Amino acid sequence: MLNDLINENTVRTNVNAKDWEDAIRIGGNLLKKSGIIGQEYIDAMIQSVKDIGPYIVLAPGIAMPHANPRFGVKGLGMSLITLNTPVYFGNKDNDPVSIVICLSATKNNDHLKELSELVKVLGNDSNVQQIKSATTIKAILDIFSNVN
Amino acid sequence: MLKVFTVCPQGLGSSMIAKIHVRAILDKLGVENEVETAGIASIVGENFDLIITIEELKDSLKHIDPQKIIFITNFFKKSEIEKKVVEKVEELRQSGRDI
Repeated sequence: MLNDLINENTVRTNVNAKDWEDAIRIGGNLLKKSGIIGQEYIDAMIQSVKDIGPYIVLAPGIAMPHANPRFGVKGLGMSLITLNTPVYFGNKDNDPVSIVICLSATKNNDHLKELSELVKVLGNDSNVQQIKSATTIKAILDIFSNVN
Repeated sequence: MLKVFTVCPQGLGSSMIAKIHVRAILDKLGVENEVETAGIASIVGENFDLIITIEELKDSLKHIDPQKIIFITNFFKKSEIEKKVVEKVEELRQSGRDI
């Protein structure tokens, strides 16, 4: 369930990130604190953008950094941060980004259900606006608790 | 039967989200389908009717017939993917493909 992943430990609002790398580090650290990933995975998420490009900016204003499970992923995890000042990843269609969702998955398909739920929430413009303007963690958790 | 690969560098993120949408769209159109996610490296030698992917992989897919590729920029809104997939299915049907 998405609600098991998106919780008080994995959500932060009004984050100050100085650039896209910083945003990934902050989001990644929330997963690292939960013990799901290590520093190696955070570095891999950043390296992936440098190597392949800003394809992880999946919709206007929304990035979903992730990397290969072989970089020490111990479980399914998702963190969500919203930024005070949007950052640029270099994606011509979807920059600037103010919602960053770091994802870790152990293998293909084990996160299909959670991503389906995420799509339901973020496919709705009004939800996206509410997430962007939320000032408390609870406000964001409330939006996600309404899924289904 | 329409065989589709949703492709991204890892086969975990955008491809997984695309798969969720594409399956639902094809089911709604009544097109029998098999939709699989794939990393860019794993489609070599595979048979397929359509690839759904991101612009960043354009160069890596140069060897593939451009008619078989759909590029997506917004993965959370179903509307962009739906419009492009519906167009492609109509094209295939007009060319005599029984799907």
